[in-house]
Amino acid sequence: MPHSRSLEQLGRRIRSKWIGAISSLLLTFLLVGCSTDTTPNMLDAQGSAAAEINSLWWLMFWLALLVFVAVITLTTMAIYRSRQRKTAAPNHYSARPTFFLTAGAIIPLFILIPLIIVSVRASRTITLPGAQSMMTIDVIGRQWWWEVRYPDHGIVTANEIHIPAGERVAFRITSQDVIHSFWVPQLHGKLDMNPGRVNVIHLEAAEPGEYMGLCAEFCGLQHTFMLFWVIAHPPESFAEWIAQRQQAAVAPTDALQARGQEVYFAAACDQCHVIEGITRLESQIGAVGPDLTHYASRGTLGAGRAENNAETLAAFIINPHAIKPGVHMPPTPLSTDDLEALVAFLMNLE
Amino acid sequence: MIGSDRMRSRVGTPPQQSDPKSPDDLTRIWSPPNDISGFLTAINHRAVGQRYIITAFIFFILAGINALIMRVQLAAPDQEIVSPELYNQLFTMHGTTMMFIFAVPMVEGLGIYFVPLMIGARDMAFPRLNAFGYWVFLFSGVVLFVSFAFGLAPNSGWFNYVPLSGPGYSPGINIDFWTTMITFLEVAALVAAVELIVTIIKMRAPGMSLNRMPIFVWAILVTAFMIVFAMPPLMVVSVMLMLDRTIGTHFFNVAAGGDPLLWQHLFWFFGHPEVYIVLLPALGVVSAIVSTFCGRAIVGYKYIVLSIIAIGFLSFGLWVHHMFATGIDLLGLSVFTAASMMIAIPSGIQIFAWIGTMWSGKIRLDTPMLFVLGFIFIFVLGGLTGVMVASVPFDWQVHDSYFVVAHFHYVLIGGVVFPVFAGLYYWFPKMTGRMLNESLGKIIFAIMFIGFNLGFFFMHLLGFMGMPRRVYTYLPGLGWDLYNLISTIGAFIFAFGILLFILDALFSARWGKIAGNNPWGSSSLEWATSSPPPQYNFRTIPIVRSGDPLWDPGWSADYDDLERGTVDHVALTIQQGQRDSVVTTMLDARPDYRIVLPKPSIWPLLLALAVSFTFISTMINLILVPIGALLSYAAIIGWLWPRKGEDQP
Repeated sequence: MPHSRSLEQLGRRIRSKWIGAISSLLLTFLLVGCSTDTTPNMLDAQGSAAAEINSLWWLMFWLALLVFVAVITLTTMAIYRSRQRKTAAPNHYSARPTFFLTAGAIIPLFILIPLIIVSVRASRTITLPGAQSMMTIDVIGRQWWWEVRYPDHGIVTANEIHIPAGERVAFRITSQDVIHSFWVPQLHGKLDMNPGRVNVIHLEAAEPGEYMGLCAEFCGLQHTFMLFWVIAHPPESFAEWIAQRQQAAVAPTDALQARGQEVYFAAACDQCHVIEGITRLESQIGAVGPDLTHYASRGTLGAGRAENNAETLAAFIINPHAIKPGVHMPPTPLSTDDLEALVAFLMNLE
Repeated sequence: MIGSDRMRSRVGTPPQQSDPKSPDDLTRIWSPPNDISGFLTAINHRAVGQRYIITAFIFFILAGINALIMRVQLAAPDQEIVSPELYNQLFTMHGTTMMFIFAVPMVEGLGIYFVPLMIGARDMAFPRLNAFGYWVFLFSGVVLFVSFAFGLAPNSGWFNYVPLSGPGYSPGINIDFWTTMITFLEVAALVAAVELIVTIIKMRAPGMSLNRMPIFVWAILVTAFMIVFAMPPLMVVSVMLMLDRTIGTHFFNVAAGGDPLLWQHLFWFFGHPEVYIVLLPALGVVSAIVSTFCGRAIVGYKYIVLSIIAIGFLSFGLWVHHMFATGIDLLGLSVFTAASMMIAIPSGIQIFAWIGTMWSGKIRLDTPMLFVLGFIFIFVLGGLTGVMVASVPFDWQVHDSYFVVAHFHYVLIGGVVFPVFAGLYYWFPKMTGRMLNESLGKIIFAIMFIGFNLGFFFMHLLGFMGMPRRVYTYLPGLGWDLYNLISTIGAFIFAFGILLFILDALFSARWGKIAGNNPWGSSSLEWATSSPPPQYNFRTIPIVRSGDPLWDPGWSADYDDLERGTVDHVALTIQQGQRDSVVTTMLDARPDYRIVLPKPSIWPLLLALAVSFTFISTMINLILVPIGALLSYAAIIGWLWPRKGEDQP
């Protein structure tokens, strides 16, 4: 039959369009299957802002699916009808303007204008500051780690942000160097950290848990490994955490750790890192490297680059660039004994 | 017979007698010398257009290879196939090359080649300027890739945010390659834009009033105006960065009162129109192909033209949607949400016009039409995710994540690359005289369509799972592994389709089926001349009576009528072997006067060398800049030196 090959092609076109449409739907649900416990999945909303954004997403998804199916259906029908014709319609025939204006302008306006309103409303809901006194945390983006300060409590830490669950917390974010972006997908959208400006974002974690955060603005060589964690505590547990952190660093408990403290000064670590109650530097903005007062309590080293344990710490001290190339910390050559002592000292700083 | 200065012919004049100018005379006058000097001095728009197309395509391949290396690196977690520094150079070069050195030059090249043919002209308004633009483009692209060869390629992303790209955090020469290349490449873009505007407005065939112009020509006209308004802010902001980096100004230095957000505003004020600059010509190609392959005039011509113009204006009001996460206040952001969603309307109107054309036409599903159908599927999907990211709170989640990477690849590959391939399949016969292989073309389409969707669809999901952009690897255990692997496989499938296309193009250019004047039965004027067109394009200038001239009665089946002089045409006498064409009025294309175009010249190449030297010397030693300026001045004098019998730049 003369038309069989072209009908095949038509069939292929229709099938590939429908396959495309159906699989889009199916695979969205595969999203859930591929996530793990640690996936910073924005659709797994754990805070009110993320939940609000999710509702908006699903509304837009169904509207978009509707429009997409309509357009593909119309196109397929047009192709099919066109194949049925013997000749093209004469050139002076044109679809009435009502067709374009309705399909191209009126119907989209009926979809877009409500969408704009819903979207603007959602953005206001998310950003309305909570009324009363909220806890404030300052986060300063640095290449390639996060300086975290609790001005109300006098605590300085790095890369892990502890908050009380169920409460809104105000974050004042800025950058010390280049533009970074503060993003905890399970709790909220992102907000840039611009040098010279302070932006404010409110996070609330509904339940206790650990939520991964990432830097979301390309900031140089190790942008990839500028990760952080927001750890939400039940309220009593949070108060305990605050109290513990307000104390100065744990003193060395044995000779090895005491020796480690001496190595700490001998190797000039105190020139960049503060250990509250031990180092000679005041705790102030300008410390070049992360605060180490409670270093041993951290789960990772290098803002998520590696697990925090004695082996990785030792390797990092000797040559940080073997683990995280390009960081601003220089290699520190030490003898094996000195290194062991230093690591023991640091891993004692709970 | 029409004389030299003013013509008074009107539409409706009976056909003229064939004029004494033989094809051999015309060929002799319009050909460049047949040696290396001919290659270097050629200014014919088809030579320049062809060079733009081929050079842009080569850069497309190079940028694609960058992407394939990136995808290999990302196929599995925690790999170090490339170092972080190399990865950062790769993604920067991929974006920069695709946006600046492939997409814009490719659509300009198609415009430069086909617009004069479609409007019935013999060449463009300023042929030497045209050649100059090409050489500047070539040199800027080459310089950028030379930086790669030395491991010094720009490495702060194609949009190059400060302060990271400023002197404080990027002290090496990498970023200087970016600022230099951008600035002088955009000289080429502005030159091409000016060329296209003047040619379209002044050199259309008699009778081709604005409302009879092919939609592709409208699209190029609007695009050219957009280039004129969008490129200067980019050149300004890259010069500002150049000054910060070389002589110590503080435009973007916070410590001295500067503002990094200024970079973002100025860059995106260019950057958003830029994506419509590459999209609109592609939409013009789609209209040409839909009309041809449905065998009827495009439905809703008025609405399509108005939509194209609306997009041209509206696109300048959207730029802050790239900055939704910067902390700008909500009221300001919401205005840009509204505008960004509204631009879906003119795009949608065009889609429905094409559907209407298909519905009332008799469709032929040849390869160009298949690429157009692929474009509809992919571009509509990308446009819908575009409406989503126009919503501020949603964008706060997906900005700078793989969701937005998926979105813009859907609109750019679907909206630009697929129509470009459609256009290449459509116009390859006209450019080379031979057809590309039709069966292989359908297979290539299927491979590219499947490969693209596999490669990019799952990136939407990766964005939801928290994967940010511009990361050189990722930790295992986050659930990102499978979709990254699938994306890599899809990317390679897509690349394989392109490889097949290249092989077919190389083969068919020599040994493909002979095409004839109008193998597709199309209605626009480029098909009224031989394939490839003769050096002089049209032996006689056609008189146009409708928007689809070749479908008017009176044209013979082989469309050879202009060569034989058997349809209404304007004939021009030769005076002293000059290259002549007709200038017509802006609105109605009534003949106005005869214009004499210049002969091949070495000065465009010399000026391009001098200008390139001036810009590159900003990276070497500033004392060379005034020397380069003097050389450029000398080249301009040489170019404009009056010659007997010529009166055009």
